[in-house]
Amino acid sequence: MSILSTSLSALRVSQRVLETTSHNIANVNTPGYSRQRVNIGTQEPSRFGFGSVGNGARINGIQRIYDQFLGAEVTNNISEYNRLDAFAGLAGRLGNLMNDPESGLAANMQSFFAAAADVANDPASISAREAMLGETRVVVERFNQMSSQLGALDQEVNARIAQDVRDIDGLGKAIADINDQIALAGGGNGARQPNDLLDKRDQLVDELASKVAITTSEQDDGSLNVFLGSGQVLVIGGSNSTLTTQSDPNDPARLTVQLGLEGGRVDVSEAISGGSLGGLLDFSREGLDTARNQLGQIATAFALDVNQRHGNGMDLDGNLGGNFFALAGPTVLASGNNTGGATLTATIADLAALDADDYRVRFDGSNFTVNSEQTGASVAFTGAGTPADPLVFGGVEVVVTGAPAAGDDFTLRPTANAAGSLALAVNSGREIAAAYPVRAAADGSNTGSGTIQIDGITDRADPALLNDMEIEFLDATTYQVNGAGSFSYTPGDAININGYDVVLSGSPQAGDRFNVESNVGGIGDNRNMLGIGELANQGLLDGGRATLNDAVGTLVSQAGISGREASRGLQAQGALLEQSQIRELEVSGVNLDEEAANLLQFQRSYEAAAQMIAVADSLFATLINAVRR
Amino acid sequence: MRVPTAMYYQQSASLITRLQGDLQQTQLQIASGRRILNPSDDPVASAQLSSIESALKQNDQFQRNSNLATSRLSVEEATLTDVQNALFRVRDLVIQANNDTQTSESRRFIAVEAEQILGQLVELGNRRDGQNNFLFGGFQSRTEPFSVDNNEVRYNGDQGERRLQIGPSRFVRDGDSGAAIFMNIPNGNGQFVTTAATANTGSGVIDAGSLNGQSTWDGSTYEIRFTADNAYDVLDGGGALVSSGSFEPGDAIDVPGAIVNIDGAPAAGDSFSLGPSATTDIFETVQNFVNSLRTAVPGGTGSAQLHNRLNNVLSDLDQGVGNVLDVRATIGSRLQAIASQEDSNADFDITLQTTRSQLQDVDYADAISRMNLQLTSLEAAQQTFARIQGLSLFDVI
Repeated sequence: MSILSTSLSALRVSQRVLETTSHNIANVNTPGYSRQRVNIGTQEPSRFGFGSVGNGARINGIQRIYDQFLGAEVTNNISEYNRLDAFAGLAGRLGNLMNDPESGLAANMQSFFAAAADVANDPASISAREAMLGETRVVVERFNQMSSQLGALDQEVNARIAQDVRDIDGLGKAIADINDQIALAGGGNGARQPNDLLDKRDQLVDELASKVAITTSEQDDGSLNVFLGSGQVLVIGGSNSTLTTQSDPNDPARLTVQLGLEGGRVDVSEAISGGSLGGLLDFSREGLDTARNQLGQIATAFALDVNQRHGNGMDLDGNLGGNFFALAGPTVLASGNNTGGATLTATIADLAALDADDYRVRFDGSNFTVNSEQTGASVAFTGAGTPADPLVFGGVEVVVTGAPAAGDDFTLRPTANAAGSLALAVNSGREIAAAYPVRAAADGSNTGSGTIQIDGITDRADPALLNDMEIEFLDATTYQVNGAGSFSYTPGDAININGYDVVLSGSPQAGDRFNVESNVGGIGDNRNMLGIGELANQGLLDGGRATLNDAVGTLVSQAGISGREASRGLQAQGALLEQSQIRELEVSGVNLDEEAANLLQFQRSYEAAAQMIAVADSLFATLINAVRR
Repeated sequence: MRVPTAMYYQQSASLITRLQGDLQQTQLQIASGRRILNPSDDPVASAQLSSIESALKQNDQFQRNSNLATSRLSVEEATLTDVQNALFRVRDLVIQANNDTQTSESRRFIAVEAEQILGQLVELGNRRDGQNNFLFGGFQSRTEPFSVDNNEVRYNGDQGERRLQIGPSRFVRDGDSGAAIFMNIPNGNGQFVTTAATANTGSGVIDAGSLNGQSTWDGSTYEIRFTADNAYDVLDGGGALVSSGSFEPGDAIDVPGAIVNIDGAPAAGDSFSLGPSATTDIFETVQNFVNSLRTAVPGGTGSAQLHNRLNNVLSDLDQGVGNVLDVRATIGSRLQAIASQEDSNADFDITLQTTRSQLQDVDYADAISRMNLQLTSLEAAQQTFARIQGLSLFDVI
């Protein structure tokens, strides 16, 4: 009489299916949950001579509906999406920080030059001079502010790198723990799959992938091994390697990522890619350093070129112009791993040759090598590093003092600190050197048509700069200087005397005299300020090809474009990610209508099974009643 | 296709969010009138905008410089008109004083007026602009350019001339130094100067003369010496005889390279000389005029001496007036250059503004039709979501 046991098996099966259905319904909104299905089979039949009689149904297992290939695709897409997300967010902020057409750097520098033109228009006016100092302070502040904003961004990036590394470390540990539980619960295969644990682990793996790109491989016992970047082990079975951050020996302000292995720590910064950590490291290397150096390059060219011209002039009180701006020179960082005692000193030598690269100077025991930090490319240089013959590359001169040891590393940042350290060095409007230090005049009794002009100051340090100088013509084609010599006269040629160029033109007569004297009191003179104003439209950077304005344009558009590219990539990657998630969900997600149908289906079969028990009962009763008498 | 319930909600929500984001972007564009809300929307155009802003600012500055140069040159022009009028008045006085009908007394009155005009000229030379700078001091704009010392006017300025930038590569001088206007003026007729010897006893009066057959005076000196009251010799600088001739009053006398006229009746032994022009200045010329009148002696010889000296003053004065006129002419051409540069700056300004507007301004027709489209899709998405999410099998069991 197997009706009863058969019906009971049907009741049990229906009950389990209903339970699983309610589990599915309960987890309809649980992230990472894969719907579960009860696999039902027939019980072993009872065999008789005439054949087999079925013994009802039984549960073969409860399976989660999950496609591991779709899952792996999602994992990969998550890594790339989060890399782009981190990069695009930061690059977009960098672009906006760099670029503000109305209050940006270009506008501020233009205001500076406009104020310089106002001084040139009325050099005697103290108010115009003070206004120029005011505009200069605005430019200086703008440089400082941009530099500190970049610094803040840098700190934020470092903090986020540290946070990501801590998160990755924690996730590695969590995955190792769950590996243990899965192995204990009976592994990844077979009927006893720990479905919910597997879901949880898949979710942890996705979360890990959002931080850093990983590869995984599943073991026979159901545990999952996780590898970083180019194959560095993060999790094997139930154990995980620790991941920590540490200051870069070449630059204490920068973080490296260290993987703890049995033999010690290994720097895996270069190997890591993908995920938000990869995006942060990319941004730190490509976006931030380049922007800071370009900004510094502009600040350096601007300040030093203005200083140079300003130094050639004379201020209201008859003093030669001092420095208009103060700023820090190149930074050289010696690696913490260096064993030699050498220090490097770098100075800016050629503003037009200066670029936005950082350099790694390495001593191999007998020679120096120079590589660009940004591109890694080898950089050609001249010189031996002595004060008389410094190493010259990229617009800087480097002097080595002390003895380097083989393998010593130095990081050279020619412009990294320029924008942040820029300051105004002039204290009052009177110190602005708008005039040339000397003035020229044709003698009042000259009979010829000769004219004289100062063409430019070539050496402000010339001791005779401010001395009186007289050119007297011996005849129409020869002249003497300060009563001595005899030089032949070519109209329009510059004559270099006492640190300046004078140009004579026209037809002087014998006995005509031309004088140059100190310009003390020449407070209406604007010649030097016109020279400073000319800087606005001169090619000061990039080998003389780029004006300050061009350079600012390059800076802002580069920052903007890399943000733009990343955000376009992010959109595309977002769509890819969504598609792969949809495909995964289509397989694994819970559909309530489907569950409702299951509910009805197994409710009915439960009722039928219960009815079967009633039938069996009535069969019994019939039989018992039949044999009672 | 299976549609998991959670996915349906997620997807609908993310679709609606995206549509709302797009709509808000369009709405902000329309409200602000700008196509580019953040530089990151269009980094290249933003960088272009930033350089256009700079160019606009620079162009504005050129216009301001032009205005300033125009106003300074106008002030100078007005001052030079005054100078010129004063010199014309002196010229009238010279001609008046040169008239033989004048008495010593009337000439003294003329001298008084001329002296007053001299004072006025010094004052004009020391005129200041609105910023308290001297107009004619050269670079030394806070040092009084002209000072009078013992009837002699000295120039204390220099020959500096300031230039203002009125275009990308165009500079204009915003003034002239006092040296260029008042000082360093060649005397005589500008090429050579004629003088009568002070020891002359006749009443011969020489004019300023003119060049004959050459364009510039070669720098030599000649002497016309009367051997009798109707005969003369022309001697060169070394005293060698060049030519001789007979003389009638009013005759033109040929000297190598020049022609001079001598009027009146020179006496035997009288001499007149020609030499290259030296430089004088306007003040000295007027002072010479005053001195000539003050020291005039009545009588035939004295009167001839006065005429000769006044003739010199007159020619020097004409050189001075000519110089002022030349400077005024250059002011006129500078003002014209500024005006044409201002026009071209204004054109450039319009070009820049047009480009800026093309780069940053929103195209309203496009933006509004885009907004309508986005509104329609958002409404459709919301309505279908509401309809579909209401369908559930659980409602009917």
